Amino acid sequence: MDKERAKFVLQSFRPDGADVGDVDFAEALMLTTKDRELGEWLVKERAFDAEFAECLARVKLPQGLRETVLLAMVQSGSGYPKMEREDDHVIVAGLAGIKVPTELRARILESMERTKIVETQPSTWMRFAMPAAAAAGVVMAFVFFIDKPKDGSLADALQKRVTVDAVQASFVGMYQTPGFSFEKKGTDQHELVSYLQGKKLPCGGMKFPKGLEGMKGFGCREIIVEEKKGSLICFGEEDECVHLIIFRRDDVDGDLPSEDQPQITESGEWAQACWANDKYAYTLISKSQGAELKELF
Amino acid sequence: MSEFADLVDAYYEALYRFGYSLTRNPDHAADLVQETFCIWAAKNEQLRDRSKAKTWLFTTLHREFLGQRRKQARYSDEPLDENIGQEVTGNDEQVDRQMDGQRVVELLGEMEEMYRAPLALFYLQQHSYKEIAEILDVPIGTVMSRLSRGKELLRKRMTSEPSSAPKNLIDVNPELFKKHHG
Repeated sequence: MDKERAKFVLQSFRPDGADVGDVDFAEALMLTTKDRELGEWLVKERAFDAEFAECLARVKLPQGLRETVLLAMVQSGSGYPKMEREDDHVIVAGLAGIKVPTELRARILESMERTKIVETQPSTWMRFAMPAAAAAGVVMAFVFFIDKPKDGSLADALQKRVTVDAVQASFVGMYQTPGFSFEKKGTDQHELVSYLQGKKLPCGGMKFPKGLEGMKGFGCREIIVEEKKGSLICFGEEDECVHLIIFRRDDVDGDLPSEDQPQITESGEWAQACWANDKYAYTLISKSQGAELKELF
Repeated sequence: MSEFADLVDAYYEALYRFGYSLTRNPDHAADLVQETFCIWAAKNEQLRDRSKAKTWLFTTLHREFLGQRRKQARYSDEPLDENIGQEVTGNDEQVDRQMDGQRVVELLGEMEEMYRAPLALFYLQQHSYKEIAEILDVPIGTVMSRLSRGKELLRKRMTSEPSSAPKNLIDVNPELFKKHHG
């Protein structure tokens, strides 16, 4: 591309710089960095264009144009009931002009995602009779899988604690729903943990298995199981994530081993490891083999 | 109904300025905008792809302009509307800006139609040159040629009438450039 060709191309370059990422202009733009005269020409050309565009944008609109247009659209009778009176048209146009809050759609979607009822998807968890995230499933877990609490009251346990199996099932169900999203995404683990700490969620004090220490973060969010609030921190890449779920130790029932000897199991395409210390109960889940998960410890 | 309002709010201002650039007449421009949206309303059910609404609206307005001009055989021979520039109100600073806006519309209006439409779409900053080609139904190369030639003619007209040209449109305005380009 020579200088004249570059000028020809760049005269179509929009004044507001919206085309800066367009590959059609890339070669011409590159030339301007190498040719001083061309670069100076481009500066003047863009300044001229910017000022002309700004002048055009200052052209005043006729008063009431918007309402006139809306009214005309209504009166065009396009599939809507006919308005007999002029007053009706005015009211219809006025209603049509009511602006919906711009953040409403986002709020609706967010509230849907945060709903406490997590519908589990049919999964391999169910096939192995593991308790589902649904309330009925959690009750079954307490009946069939969980040691009775020390105080001897099953009812108290039902009210206070969740099982590791319920945590795992809840995560899988939530993660596989189409609406799943992270509250914060990022590669910095510290930033993800800080975010969760800001929400006063259990984070484990950045004490992760050794294999996670060097991994990039991916995202994090709150996870709620049976009204117990925990943290979900994901590491790695989008298609190869490892998911760490942390709850307060008091919120999770059952005997759990220490970190140096985590309990590792496999179920279908998922492998999971769980352990606990005095303060926190951890569950590490990924779509991998148990042996691969073990290497992270 | 609110869908209509969203669409109108998104595009009616730019459509009006496009129409005004083409017609040089505020009433004709308003009529074009109104007609364009009414056509949209009438065809609402048929136009499924809302992502193409912007291009569709500008294409339709341009087509309506051409259709009306064909009907009015002496449209291109009409003198500039006497009302242009008379809506100016406010203090001196506002008057200057209005004159600048009006003057650019006049300058565009003085261009041949083949240059006027692509220049107006370009300076409205709503469309890439590819979108302009789609709106005007001409090849991309033609758009680039007309923009190149049209800008050259625009500059010639402005430099031949320095007293009526907008301020700072000949020399580079560093402050304005900084504002736009950082």
